Amino acid sequence: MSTSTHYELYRRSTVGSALVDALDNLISEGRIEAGLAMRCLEVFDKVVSETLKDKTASKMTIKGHLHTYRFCDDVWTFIIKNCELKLEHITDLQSGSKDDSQPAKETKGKNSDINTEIKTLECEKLRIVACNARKSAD
Amino acid sequence: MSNKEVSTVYESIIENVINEVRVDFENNGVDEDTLQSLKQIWQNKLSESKTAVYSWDTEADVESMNTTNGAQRELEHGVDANGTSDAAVGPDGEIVVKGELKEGQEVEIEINNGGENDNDNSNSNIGNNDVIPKSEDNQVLVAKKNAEELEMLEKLKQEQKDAKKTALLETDEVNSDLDDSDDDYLNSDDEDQEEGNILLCLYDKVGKVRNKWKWSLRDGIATVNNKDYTFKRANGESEW
Repeated sequence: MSTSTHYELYRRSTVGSALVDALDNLISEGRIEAGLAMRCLEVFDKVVSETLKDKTASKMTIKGHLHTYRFCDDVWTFIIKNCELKLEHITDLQSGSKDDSQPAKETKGKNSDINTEIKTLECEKLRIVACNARKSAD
Repeated sequence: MSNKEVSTVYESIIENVINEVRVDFENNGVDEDTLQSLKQIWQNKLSESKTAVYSWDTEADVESMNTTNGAQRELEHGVDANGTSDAAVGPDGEIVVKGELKEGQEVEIEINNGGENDNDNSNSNIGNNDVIPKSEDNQVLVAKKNAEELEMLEKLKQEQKDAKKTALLETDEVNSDLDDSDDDYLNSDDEDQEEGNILLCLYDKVGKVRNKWKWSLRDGIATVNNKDYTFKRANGESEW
């Protein structure tokens, strides 16, 4: 199928595992077939990739001690200890970039109407799983 | 507090997935109500995770969800009994659907009753036939009657057993399908949820000089301290 070109990694996110659980419920109640559930997940893979590309604007900075790194099948896995995350949430007051397909980063710096909210998070251990950005663009 | 972006991103993911999958549901002969309950279960699961605040959280959706679920479940039974699909019925027509389905169930019950009545009639007919000659002993007559009733009972019991057997087989099939399809990602899911904090994203560049690493990442979803965050870009620095 055409959607199989998208990464499946986001199925492990909160929104993905919630969908998996929901599909699970419907299958065990005999309301849908497993094949249809798989199809839903393929659509989900595609939609998540597109949505993250088009509808996010925040920037994150990650610092910490790299405890483990792994590179397997073009996927990087990092485990970071004593991790500090800084999140810049950019609120575009004109909110033009969110509706249009223009990339949101273009509006940054140009305009003084942009609100930036910085949030700092800390955690003992963070696992990063990253797939190659180039393949998903194809 | 989670990232404000998260709820809008998740909401748009749900809307788009549901809309794109609608065609596949139709092609598989699954009705709109099932699609809607997929959406609602999905939203509920997200709310349960408490990783962000969603627009539907304030709408006291939990109650309405329970009722619609019930209606939809009943609807399915109705469809089975009638042998026709009510796919065209929209979410607004739930009460109507409910009514139809009750009719369907009643019809089914009536059919069953009819069958039993037929049996009873044949019994009594035989009894009458036997009674008319009157020359035979009453005892023989009673014995015959009892024998016939026993046979009927046994037949009914067997029918019930067969019905139970097929029901069991069906559920087994459902479970085995479930196991086959879901194992892979469910298992990996569990592992990572135990880990807790996870960040899923794409990488543009990963580089290192000696023990110093730098990454440029994008399109990420992170769960940190039970709150979700999304980002367009992320840069990381770390020493190994």
